[in-house]
Amino acid sequence: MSAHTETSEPPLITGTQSFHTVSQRISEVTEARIQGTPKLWWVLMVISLLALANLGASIAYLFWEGIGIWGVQNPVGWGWAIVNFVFWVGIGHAGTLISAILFLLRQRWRTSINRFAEAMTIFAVICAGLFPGIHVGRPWVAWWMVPYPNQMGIWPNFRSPLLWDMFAVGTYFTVSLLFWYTGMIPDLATMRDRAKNKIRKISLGVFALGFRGSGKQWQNYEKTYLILAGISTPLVLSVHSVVSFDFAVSLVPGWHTTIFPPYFVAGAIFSGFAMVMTLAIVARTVYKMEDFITLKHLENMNKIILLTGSMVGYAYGCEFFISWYSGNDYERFAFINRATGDYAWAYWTMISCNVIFPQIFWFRKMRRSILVMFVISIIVNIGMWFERFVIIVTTLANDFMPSAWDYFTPTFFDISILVGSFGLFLTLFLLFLRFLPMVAIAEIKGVLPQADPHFYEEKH
Amino acid sequence: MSPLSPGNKNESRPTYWRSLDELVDDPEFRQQLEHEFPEGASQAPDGVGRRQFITVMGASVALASLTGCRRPVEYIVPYVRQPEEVVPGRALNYASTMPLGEDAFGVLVRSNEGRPTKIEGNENHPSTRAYDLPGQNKRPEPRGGASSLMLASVLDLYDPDRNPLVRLDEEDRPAQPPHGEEWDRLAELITGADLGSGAGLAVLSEGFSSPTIERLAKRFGARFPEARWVTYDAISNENVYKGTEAVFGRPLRPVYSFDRASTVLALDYDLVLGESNNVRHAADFAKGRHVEDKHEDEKSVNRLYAVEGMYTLTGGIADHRLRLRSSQIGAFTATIANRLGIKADGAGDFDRRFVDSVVADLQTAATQNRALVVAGRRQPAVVHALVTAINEKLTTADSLVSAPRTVDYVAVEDTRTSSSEDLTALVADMDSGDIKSLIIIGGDPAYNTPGDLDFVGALQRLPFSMCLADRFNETAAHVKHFLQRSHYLESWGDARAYDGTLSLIQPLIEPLYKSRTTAEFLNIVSTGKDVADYDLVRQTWNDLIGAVDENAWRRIVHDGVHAGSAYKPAPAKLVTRRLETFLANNPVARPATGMELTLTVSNSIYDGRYANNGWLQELPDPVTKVTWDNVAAISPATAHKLGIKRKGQKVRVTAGKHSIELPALELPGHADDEVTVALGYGQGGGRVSQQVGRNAYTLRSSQSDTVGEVSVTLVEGTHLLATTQDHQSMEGRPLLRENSLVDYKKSARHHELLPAMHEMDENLQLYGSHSYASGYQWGMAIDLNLCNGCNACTIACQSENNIPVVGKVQTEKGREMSWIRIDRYFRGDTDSPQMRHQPVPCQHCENAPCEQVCPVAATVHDAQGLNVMVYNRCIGTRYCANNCPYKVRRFNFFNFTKGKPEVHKMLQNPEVTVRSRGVMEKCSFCIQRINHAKIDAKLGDRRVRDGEVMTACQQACPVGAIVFGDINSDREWNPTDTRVMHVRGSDRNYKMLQELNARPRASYLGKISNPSATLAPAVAASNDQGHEGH
Repeated sequence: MSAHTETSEPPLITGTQSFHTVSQRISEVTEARIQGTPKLWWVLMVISLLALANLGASIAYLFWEGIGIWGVQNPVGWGWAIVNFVFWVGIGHAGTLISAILFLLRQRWRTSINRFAEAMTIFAVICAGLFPGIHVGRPWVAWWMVPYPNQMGIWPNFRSPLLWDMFAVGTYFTVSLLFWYTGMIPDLATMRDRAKNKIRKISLGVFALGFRGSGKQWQNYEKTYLILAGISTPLVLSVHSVVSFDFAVSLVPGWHTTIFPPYFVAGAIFSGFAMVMTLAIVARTVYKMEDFITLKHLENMNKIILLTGSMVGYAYGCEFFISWYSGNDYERFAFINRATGDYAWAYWTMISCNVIFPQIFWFRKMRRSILVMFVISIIVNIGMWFERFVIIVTTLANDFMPSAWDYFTPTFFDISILVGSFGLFLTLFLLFLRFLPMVAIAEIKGVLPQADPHFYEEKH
Repeated sequence: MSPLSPGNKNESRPTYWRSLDELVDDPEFRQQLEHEFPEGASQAPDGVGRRQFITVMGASVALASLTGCRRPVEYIVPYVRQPEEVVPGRALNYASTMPLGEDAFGVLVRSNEGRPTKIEGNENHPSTRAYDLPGQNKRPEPRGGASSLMLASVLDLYDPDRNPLVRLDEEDRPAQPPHGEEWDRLAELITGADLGSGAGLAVLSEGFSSPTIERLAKRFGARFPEARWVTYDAISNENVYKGTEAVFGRPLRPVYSFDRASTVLALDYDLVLGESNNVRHAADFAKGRHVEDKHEDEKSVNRLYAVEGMYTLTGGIADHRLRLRSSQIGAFTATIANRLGIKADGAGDFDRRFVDSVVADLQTAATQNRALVVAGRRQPAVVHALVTAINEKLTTADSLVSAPRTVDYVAVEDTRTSSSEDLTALVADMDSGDIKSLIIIGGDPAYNTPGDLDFVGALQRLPFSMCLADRFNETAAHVKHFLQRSHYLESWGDARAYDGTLSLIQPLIEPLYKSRTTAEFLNIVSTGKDVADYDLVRQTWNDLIGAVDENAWRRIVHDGVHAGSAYKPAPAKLVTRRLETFLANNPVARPATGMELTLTVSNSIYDGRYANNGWLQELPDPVTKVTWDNVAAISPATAHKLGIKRKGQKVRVTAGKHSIELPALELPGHADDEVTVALGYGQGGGRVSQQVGRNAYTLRSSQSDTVGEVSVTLVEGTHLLATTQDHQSMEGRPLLRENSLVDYKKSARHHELLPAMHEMDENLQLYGSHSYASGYQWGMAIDLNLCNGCNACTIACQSENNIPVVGKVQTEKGREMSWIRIDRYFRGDTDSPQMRHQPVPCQHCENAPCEQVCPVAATVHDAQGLNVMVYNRCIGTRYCANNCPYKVRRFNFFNFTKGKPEVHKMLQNPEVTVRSRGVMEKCSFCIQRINHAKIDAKLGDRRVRDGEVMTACQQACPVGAIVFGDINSDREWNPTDTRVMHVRGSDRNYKMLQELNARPRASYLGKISNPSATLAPAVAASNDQGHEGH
């Protein structure tokens, strides 16, 4: 890094940091005793655990009674469970995008947020994966979707988008998990080296896979990471495209549209970044990580939110145009009905949350206000949940046969399972914050000024 | 308090099968409790000690848990000597007869290993002969049609409330003593009551038409000469008889031939549901309605004018409908009568063009004796007198014509008809003490007598009262002695059909509980001797038809009818002076001013006798689409006037001293300033009937069937209404297509149906398709021109395919399970729209959207073109239902069969899988019937014959709107067209949503209406735009 770039670009990490302080600040969070855990963490953890317990109880009752405890009916065969599934898969997009695509694009500002964005991805995909499993009528045989050789010679139906979906999400989860874990190996090794007691030393040692920081190991590590980033990149685009096929491949007016894959991917990145934003603000507040997650990071993310939000808005408009332009009466009706029918309230909630509110980020001041961005990030997530609700429920409620039209009303259990899934997500996330390095130590060191080979030369 | 006890007023907890059995213990367990312990052990005696209480409770708990952990001991008993004809696994059909008031419907009952499981119409019976579209060159085999009541009556046989042992008292204990014991003591009871020669004794019987019951009623009269016999039915033809009496001098029954009529005027008369002989009438009407495509003269298609207040199915199939309040019908009839030259006062001022058109058409038709005017039975006698006179006038208009008449008059025999005067007098005498003992035979007078008679109060004061009832109903709860009557499927008996044909009732099963027939009861009461029902019937028939040899008798038992025994037309001559005197004494009533109430027979549960029948309660009313309730139906304009904004808002209807609160329902096409309420709801006593709807009989008056003026006010609160269709408009989509006859014929080259439909290139395919060119290829055609929306197909399917009842709450959520539903659409303006019906089963698409999306291939196509469901493979993603454009797939959101009463298991069709929770289901085109026919064919080394396979819906349909069969057009396989191929060859044939290229195997034949040229051509005008009408 030469002198003039240094003056033109502000440093990615603020405060006076040395390699040691970076290791110290990040690792000490995981090394703290119970007393050292921030109060706010405990409060959040208790709330999350309650929600998680609620999820367990709700699912137990669901399995006992049947999915009739939800609001799903004829003709709305998919309700909140699938809305939640698509919502969580969407959330799970930002992590890999930040890790893989921004890595390949050499966007070094990503280093501060990539770790917990990846963690968020894993946990969001876990939440997402929960729903297809529990939403089926007979969850105890849901594994029949898996192609396995059997004595009856029965295979799943490879024409079904649900099957593609299972592979897409499964692959995405596997690769995201590997990517996250691989990226964590040098940090685990750092923590192992810092460990004081034996159990910690051994367990971290096992997971660090004997990483010692030798040149050869770093070389292998970097190569693996690069390859995984390469593998992940198409997945970021494919997984939500395939999720969108669940709808696009059907013939239901309002679902059967070719715009769905790009539109879903843009929406997913949009919601994913919003969620990263929410979590980043919480994490830097709880653990005082302002030096690592700086305003610059947050502002960059806000720019992406503005961009993807506008893309989503464009998609909404495009859908409307095409439905008119197609001359297909059913299609036209489906879209006009979304905006003016029984569910107009949901549609306009979606439009205002996703398209109108993010426009505030055109103003630099707003992009840099923690409060504004926190509120907007939550609004965006509400809006994106409603987008899935609008797509799934309003479409099914009013399709070809007017005689079958009906109005979907959620029940207590629809709500409790959605709340419960947040419980699961937050529990996992809080455990992650507490026990694993929330920021990539090794990578942060890489972007410190000291990492520049000429750093000391210039100082003198 | 028990959810079963009549006193429970908790409205927020509606009673239906499933929740009930969650609330109430398994009856088997209760029974077991009863038998295991000495009497009274299952309930703590007074002053029980703690120790004793714990002992009993402990034993109960232990017993309860035992049923859980121990497999019950079961015995299977082989036939030691196999009964003749019984082949295990092969069902047998027996002819019998279902009596319903004065009507009798011929039934064919399927028996699976001794259990009656399914009812069909008897093709040999005049009341159930169905119409069928002709095929190429040949007429189809005769077929019996059925009504929803006939089809559902088999469920009543297995009504768990008939079991005296599981009936619970207010504290949830089994009712004591079990009422079956009364039968053993009946002769003693009668002797003990010291009835003498019958002074102070009265019998209150339901109407009937049965030689054996009539013979025994006469014997009863001989035994108790001073006793009084009163007949009462809530719904009866009393007014019709009074009308014919006014014209002919004696009460005669009109027997209509709708097939001969080319112009029909229906005055408040629903020929499809609610009137006598409805199955035959619907079939006959369809025969006159049938449109041949190319060659036929349009005059051969009949024309129907309907004048009514509440929309009925007859209004739906009518070419022109005039909405008038019920009280205006009299004036309208007088107007028509005047125009035809019959003097009658009270004529009114009605739509002139409509009246002109009616009169002109009637007069034209009359030249060939093909005019027919009918009036509903709730209309007063004067309307019937006028209608009779009009029909006579139209028949005798041209004496040169010797064509058969559209209406014959017959003198009924062996029949007793309801008399409201007799009932009023009886109640007065019960009050005054002149009547001290009352025997009630059938019916439920404590429930369905008019509200201004305090029947229950009078009944409770009697020292001796006894009732014979089908189940423990409200009357049974108020008499001293209750005796259970056998279901007709458990009885020997006889009946006369509407046209007088002698019909035989034969039992399919021994009585399930301790019960006897009406004949047996009367015989015990009159003679003290317990003679079997078979002997009583045999004795009657020896007198009726002479001593026939055993073969001739067996022939009658086999056919269910004694052929050629119909009444002969009675000589009937219109005496003008007598009519004029009658009209002078009974003038046409002036139309009511202000709000008017009309009470109708329920389209689902008739007069309330089927209120405990879950199938019928869950059957959507064909007009309102409401299940599990009766509503106050009003026109949109009246709703606006009353300030009703939401569905289900409650109104209070007050007539005289009585009032009930009902949910209001806006019904397009309803007459203004009139509120229509169905009777039969709000009954206590049954686990299903309990808390369903409100009893509108309380608003009825003993003076007349029409209530007249009432006050209707909006009250606080909303009632949960479970409707199966919430959107009334077709949105201009080409789902149900039609045209008027004239326009249809005009477009001679390309017969047009509206709304227009987009064509689609069938070769556009993502995946390669199967050719479906060899072997059987099953297909269906549904003629919308014949369908009148009567719901028989829906119940037939429910019965055949073990479809569960889900209850009101689930129905309201849109989780009803019917495999064939009937869509009902309104077209035109909300004041007088047209109503159309379209049955929708699974369309069995060759290129099925459901199949492609199922991840586990649980719904697949077979080589015969059937879209089959593999329940075992289904994991329940519901993706198929989402992707089904016809929305015919049904999902088991819960285990809907879990709470089934034990006795219902006997009802299940053993050839159809009972579905469990979490799987999808849908119409299978009755694949079990297809396979049966194929097995038979294979054993006979032949092919399945055309018409050999009938789906349940097809078999039930009285009008033959559904045709099913092989559609393989390969000439080597089918040298000539099968009947379904011929029907599908019609120009009216189209496939619903054809542009989706799903290639359905079911197709529809467009509806053709036949409006009068002088009235506005209704179809073309309003067809382009569907109208928003909800």
